[in-house]
Formats: sequence, structure tokens, C-alpha cells
Amino acid sequence: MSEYVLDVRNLTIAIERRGRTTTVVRDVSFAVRPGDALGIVGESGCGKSMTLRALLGILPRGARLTSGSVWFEGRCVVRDGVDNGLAALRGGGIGLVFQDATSALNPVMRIGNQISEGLRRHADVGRRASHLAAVDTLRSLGFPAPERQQRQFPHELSGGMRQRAMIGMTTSCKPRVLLCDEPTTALDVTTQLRVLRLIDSIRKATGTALVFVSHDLGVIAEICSQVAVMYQGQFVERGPTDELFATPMHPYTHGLLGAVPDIDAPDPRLFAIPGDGAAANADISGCPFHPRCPLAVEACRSGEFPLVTVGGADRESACIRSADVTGLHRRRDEGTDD
Amino acid sequence: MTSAMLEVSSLSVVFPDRSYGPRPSRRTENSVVAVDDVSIQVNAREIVGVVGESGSGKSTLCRVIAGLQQATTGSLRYAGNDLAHKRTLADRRAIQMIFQDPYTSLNPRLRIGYVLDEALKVGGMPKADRLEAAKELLASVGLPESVLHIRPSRLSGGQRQRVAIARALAVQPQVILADEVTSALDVSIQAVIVDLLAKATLDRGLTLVFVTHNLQVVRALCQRVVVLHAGRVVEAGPVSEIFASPQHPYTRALLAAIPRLHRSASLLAEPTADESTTSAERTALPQAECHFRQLCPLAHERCRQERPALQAISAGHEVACHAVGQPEPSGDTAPRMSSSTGDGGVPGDRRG
Amino acid sequence: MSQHAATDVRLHKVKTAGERRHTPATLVAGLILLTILVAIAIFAPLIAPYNPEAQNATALLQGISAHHWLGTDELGRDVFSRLLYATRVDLEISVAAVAASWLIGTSLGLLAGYAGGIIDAIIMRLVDFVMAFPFYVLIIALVFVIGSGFGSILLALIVVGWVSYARIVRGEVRVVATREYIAAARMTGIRGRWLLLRHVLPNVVVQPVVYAMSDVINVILAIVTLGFLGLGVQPPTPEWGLMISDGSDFLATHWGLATFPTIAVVITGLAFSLIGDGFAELVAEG
Repeated sequence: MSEYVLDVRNLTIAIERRGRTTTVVRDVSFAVRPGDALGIVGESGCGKSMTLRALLGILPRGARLTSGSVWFEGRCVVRDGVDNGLAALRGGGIGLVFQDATSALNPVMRIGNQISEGLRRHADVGRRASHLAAVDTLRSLGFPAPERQQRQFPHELSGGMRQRAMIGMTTSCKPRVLLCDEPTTALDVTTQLRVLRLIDSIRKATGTALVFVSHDLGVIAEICSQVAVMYQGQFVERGPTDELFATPMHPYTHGLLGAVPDIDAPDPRLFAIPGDGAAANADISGCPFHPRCPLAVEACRSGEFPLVTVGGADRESACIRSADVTGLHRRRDEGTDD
Repeated sequence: MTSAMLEVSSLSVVFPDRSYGPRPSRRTENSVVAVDDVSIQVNAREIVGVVGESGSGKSTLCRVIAGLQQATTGSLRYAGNDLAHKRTLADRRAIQMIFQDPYTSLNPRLRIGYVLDEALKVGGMPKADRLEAAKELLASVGLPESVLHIRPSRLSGGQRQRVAIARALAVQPQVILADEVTSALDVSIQAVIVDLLAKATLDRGLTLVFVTHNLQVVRALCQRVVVLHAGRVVEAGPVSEIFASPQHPYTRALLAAIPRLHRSASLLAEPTADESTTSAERTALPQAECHFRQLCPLAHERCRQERPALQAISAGHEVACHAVGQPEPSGDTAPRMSSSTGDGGVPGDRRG
Repeated sequence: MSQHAATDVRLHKVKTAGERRHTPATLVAGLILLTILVAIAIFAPLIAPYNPEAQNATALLQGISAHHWLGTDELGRDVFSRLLYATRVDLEISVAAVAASWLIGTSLGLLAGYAGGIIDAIIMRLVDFVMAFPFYVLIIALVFVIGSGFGSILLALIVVGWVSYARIVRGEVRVVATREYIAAARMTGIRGRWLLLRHVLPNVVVQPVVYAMSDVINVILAIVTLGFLGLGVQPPTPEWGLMISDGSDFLATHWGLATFPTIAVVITGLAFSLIGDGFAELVAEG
């Protein structure tokens, strides 16, 4: 078990608002080794961001862990939903890269200082040394003139540079696990590429484990070797990235792949997933996806649908008809679908 | 021969340097050229994509066409009428826009039914017909009539965009401008909205200008595409041709940068260069040069001295590049984004 | 082939459960209190046992008794009856003053915010001019000029009161005017007064209303203070400020004369305060 730097088991998060409790993350488990890159794919509201926040103990007001445990480097830091040392991991153990660098960076502090401050706090480095290290960090992030730019304020930088500065801040503390919450969503595609390269190179160089959350399948495919698909707070499928995207074994994954086709795919059409995912998720019994699912049957309307191993050691799916998804997917790819 | 519905000619939008006072036409060092001598022609019933990254000027261009922003120089014609100076009510209604953010494009205090009714009323429809027409509009965007009685706060982002489309259609326009309408939506909903727009456009014989940074959507929806970079048109032509064989280095870089789902050699292995030019940095760039040259693998001396003009390289396909028509460097189909000014030092590389 | 995803009938439950609007308790409490006060004002002639202005030389400065529930003042007038009738006067003036200020201020603020340019400049300089004077200094000066009495203090309050609303509304309008839904409405062909009243106004109207609730309290205090200074409503008309002023001479011996009207002011202030808070809470959820 200690081969995993981060081991999350049965995480469940509920939000309480005005007397009503809604479960937003249900029974989520995953584990990463040093140097691993796990992607979590899902759309807005599926609970992926909430999951990351829970790992840092920064859940929004009203949300709390109701159950689950988290092991960090073999030590149990969350037991049965109760914090047992999780907070101490922030920064040095587990770092988080946000989507919006603008709100993550202090607007009245120069970026050089923001990076060096992190170093002083986590790495026990003196003032002068931390300043030099900050300049070094900026250089390795691709800033062309680090000495001058470290004196700049966040608003003086472009979006991509801000994002890189934030990554620099987070990684300067050398966390063993790096959580990324849609870090490139707000960026241009060319800038996105640069930032992805940066994250990937950091992972390779320092052996940090990566948990990368995004709604962009392509980005996940680039940077993550393993991927888990999340829908309405639950994992619905998991497996190696290439395989999963080539032959999905859950109708939701199949739907997602149709909505964001490969730019090189012969068929340029976009396929919608019928229905509205934003509808209240608490009211549905059975599989959360069944109202929108082309393969739904009576059995899908009730019961629990945990991940089960399907075809191959590494593949898991929550769908009871996972075998049929392959056929559905192939038919669409070949254009024989309606 | 289809007639030109919209004709943008040598349009420029310069945002003045405020420290010199209100003199919009003066181009000083600090004024920002958001749209730089752009000419585009959109024919009736066409679906044209306008593509660019941030700072490309696509939104500003869209706003100028919509009448929400004044152009500094150049002309804009709709069905032959010059729109630059005064728009008649008919002109105003002929061009409708759907905005990016579904959470600010609908008035939070007004019920959907009221908004649609008002739009129909302004179009001259008699009161007796309006309710039915409103219901039909909602049906055409896939919403039930119960939506008429509620306010936008009860709807999700995708539903709001549908209402926005219904509102735009209520006025019976000729041209629809869609400004990043899918960017704020979940991917599974994007396809629905795109599909709706396509259907509405085709059913009513409208012209659609689809502004976006998302090339996948352009490929699915548009017949022609215009690629903007730093306020200038760098390439324009039929979608199929441009995606199959992009000619401008920027277009190629853009296509190459999109992450693929299945890729034998990952994008990440290749080196990179500094940030692309955004409009904030463009204030200092001289006019008489190609703004892409710093990142262009085909850049040469001429690129530093002369702005490339749009030239047609085949029917309907134009490119603004000095290097087009030259023999390609050997073995390179998708250019690597390496700096040509010898800046060296690229970030991710050193760690290998 | 993609389908039009017609949203299902669950549309009305689109928002997650728990979004049901419930009327905040503060709003309800405030409204109830206000209703009582208004009822008192309206039905004062029916409830009051005595004529508020009737003097009775034989029953001067009496304490609480069965005949006079709150005692009598230095001229033998029944305190309870005067309190009830004073409610009328104070409520009338304050509500009228605030309503008029609100109307004038909101209209000018709308105009200034939307028109911009020279109109905005003129109106805002006027606002600045009025705001430069301390509130009470201006009111008192105006009352000196116009004369005292019901009508004139109402006028003075309005002249001074509209500016806050104008400022608030102008600020809100400037923000709203940049919103896309306004641009969209303009593109539909809606302009001018229609746009302002039907599209802009509903979005800017909340702030001044919330402000009005707290403004009423200030206005009541101003009326009371003017009364206390002898500049407001003139005797023998019963008014809380006058009662407090007269009663302050007898604080040591007959503390009720000044205290009861003070309590009345506090209760009224409380009512409006609750309404203001409750309204803000109600609207914030929406």
C-alpha cells in the first residue's frame, strides 16, 4: 500500500444548504504512485473540483466529508471523514493549481515575492536564498526576463504567464502530489500547450504525482496515462487513457467522445447527449445517467452502480451493459448510427 | 452568384491611448489596434466561422458588425447599405447577436415570455399572434412553453443560450452573429446549441457568422472560415480545404496545438517558445511587418519589413503570408513553434 | 445524428431543492409592526379616548391611572391620545418625504446614469452641492427660510433627501448599461424611455428601496429633532418631537412624558429597520 503516494478510499462529500443535504461526491476511490498522472474527466457540477478541494481540506462552506479515508505516503490523514493531519499537507505535501490564476494570485504582491514566500514557509530557506530561487523558478517556467519580471504584479502579465507563475508558486514547495483543477481551460490553445508541457516536465523531473481534472478529453489524453470519468459525483469508468478513449465502456464516455470529436476525425459532426445534466441529482434513483442513456433498461432505474472490472485488468465501468457500449461506439464511428 | 450579405472593407478599430485625451483617430504608441485593416465578405445563407485566440480582434470585429462598437476606419455594408454611420431600425434588427455569457445576456428581472413578446411586438406582429409565435419559437429551440412564465434564474446555461437564440430569431433577422456562444457551456450541451443554430439558420435561410476559438466546432458547423491573428486576417477559405491543408503557419500551429485523443507521438515532446502576442503587447509592434514572425518557422527578412497582403491561392482560399508559394522546408508538415530570433532557452526542454 | 434535446417537464425543478423562496422572518416581523403602526395612525380618532389637544386644568401632570393610561402632560392633555395622533403626523411626513425623495432621486439618477455627458455632469454637480452641506445644517437653514410647519419641513426633507437616491441609482445604471442584455435589447430596436423603464429600471430599483428603509428612520429622527428645536410641526399639533421637547423639562419627576414618545420613535425605527433587512435578504436570494 505504501507504493502509493496518495490513496483515496470511498470519499463521500455532502452539501448542506437550508436544511437539505445533497451528496455531491459519492464513494470515490483512486490512488496514485509517484510520477503517475491520473485524469478525472467530467462536466461542470460532476463533483471533480469538490473532490480535489476535499483533498486539501478547503471545501466550501456547507460542504463536508461525510465518509472516506485518505492515505498520504502510507499515513492515514483522513479517517472516516475526519481530518487526521490533512491540513498539514497543504503546500508541501499536496499542491493545487487552480483554473483561475487571477484569483489565486495576490493582486498586490509581486510575483517574485509570492513564489519566494512559499519557499520560505515550506522549505526553510532564508530570505536571500528564497529570492534567488524564485528567479530561478521563473526562468525554468519560461519567463524570458526573470529578474525584471519577478518584480511585476499579476495584472501586468498575460493569462498564460499568470498561470505559469501560479504553477511556479505551487511547485516551488515541491509537493509530492500536484492537483490540477482545469488549469488550462481559460487559456488559448497555443498557450495551453505550453502550460501542459510545463506541468508534464515538472512531473517527469520531480516525480510528483499528478491528479488532473478537466472537461477537455484531449488535454487529459495528452498528459494523463490513466483516466477516470466522473458523472454526478460518481466514477462511471476508469482505465488507461488511450484504451478508454478508443473503446469506451460506459455510455456517458461514449456520449462525451461524440460531443468533442478529434479534430482529425473523418466525421466532423458533433453529437449531443440528450437531456440536461444540470438537473437536480439528488432525486434520481439507480444509475445517475439512465435518464439520458441510449442503452438504459428497467434494471438501471434502481440499485447501486459501483465500478466493476470489465474486460482487462485495468478497465472498470459502472455500466451493467458495458459490453454493448462497444458496439454503440463502433457503429457511430463507422457512421452507421442514425 | 450569391450576393454579399455583409461586406467588411478595410475595417480598423483602434482603441485610443486615453492619456492623450479623447482623440480616437490618433494612433499613438500606446493605442491598441484591435482590428487591423480587415476585409471579409459573407454571402447570403453562408455559415462562416471567425477563428482566433485572445487578442485576435474577433470579438471586437463582431461587435462592430453588431453595431455595438464604432469602427475607426473602413466600411461595413449590409446588403449594400453602409452601416458605418447611421443604422435604420430595419438595419438594426436585421443583424442579431447571441452573446458568450448566458448568465448576463438575459435580463434577470424580466420573464422570458415578456422578452419574446416584446421582440415580436417590435417586429410589428399583432398582439393576437404573438403568444402562439412565442411558443413556436421556444419549441424550435427545444424548450417547453412553461419557460414563458419564468425568469432566467431558473434556467441552466444551456437553456439560457437556447432562449437567447429564440430571442434573436424573434426579430426575424437576416444575419446572426454568434460570439463564443458555446464557450461557457458544458461540452455535451455545446453540440445541442450548435445543432440548433445550424438548423435555425438553414430553415430560415439566414446567414450565420460564428465567432469562436474552438476549431472543432468550426469544423462541424461552418462552410467557410476566416482566421484572425493580432487583428489581421491571415487565412480565409472553405473549411474542408483549410483543415485538410492549412497554408498559413499560424493556422498550422493552431491546428497542431489542439490536443488529440489518440496520438502516437505526443504533442508534449516538442519544444516551445514564448507567449504569442496578445493585444496588450501589440501596442509596441510596428505596422509594417508580419505580427506572427517571432513565432514563425518560415520567417525571413521580408517579414520584418512588410506586412503580408491577402492573396488568393485558389478559388475562395486566401492567405496573408510572404512565404506561401515558396517551397516548404524539407520534412516539415506541422511547423514546430520555435523562436526564429534566436532567443534560445525554452522552458520545458531542459528537464527533458 | 444529434437530436434536439427538448428539456423534460422537470424544468420547474431546474434549481436544486432548497432554492424555494421563503419570506425572511425579519421582513414579516417588520411588516407586522408597521401594519400596527399604520393602523394606529389611521384609526387614532377611534382609539384615542381623548381629544389630543384638549387641555384640562384640573388634571395636570398626572401619572398613569385608569382614566389616563399614560398620564397627562403639563397642560392636562392625555398623553396616550397625543401619542396616537402623533403617530399620524410623524408617519405621514416621513413616508411622504421618503417616497418623494425616492421618486425624484431615482428618476434623476436614471437619467444621469443612462444619458451620461452633460446631463450627468449637471445632475451630479447638483448632488455634490447638496451633499456638501451637513444634513441638519441644511434642513434647519431651509426651514428658517421657508418657515416651519408640516408643509415646509416636508419640502425641506425632500430637497435634501433626493440626492442619495440619485447617487445610488446612477451608479447602478452605469453598471447595468454595460450588460449584454441591454445591448441585446437595443439590437432588437428598443431604445430610449422604453429601454430605461422596462429593462434598466427593474435592475436598479432594489438598492434605492433598501436604502429607503433606512432613510425613513433618518427622516423620522430629523422630524423629531426639528420638533425638539421648535422648528418643525407647531403646537398644539401632537408630534413625537414636540412631546419629547416638552417632556424633557419634567424628566426628573414625570419621566413618562418624554420617554413614551421616545419609545414610539424607537419602535417605528425598528419596524423599518426590520423591513429593510428582510427585504435585502429576500432579494438577495433571488
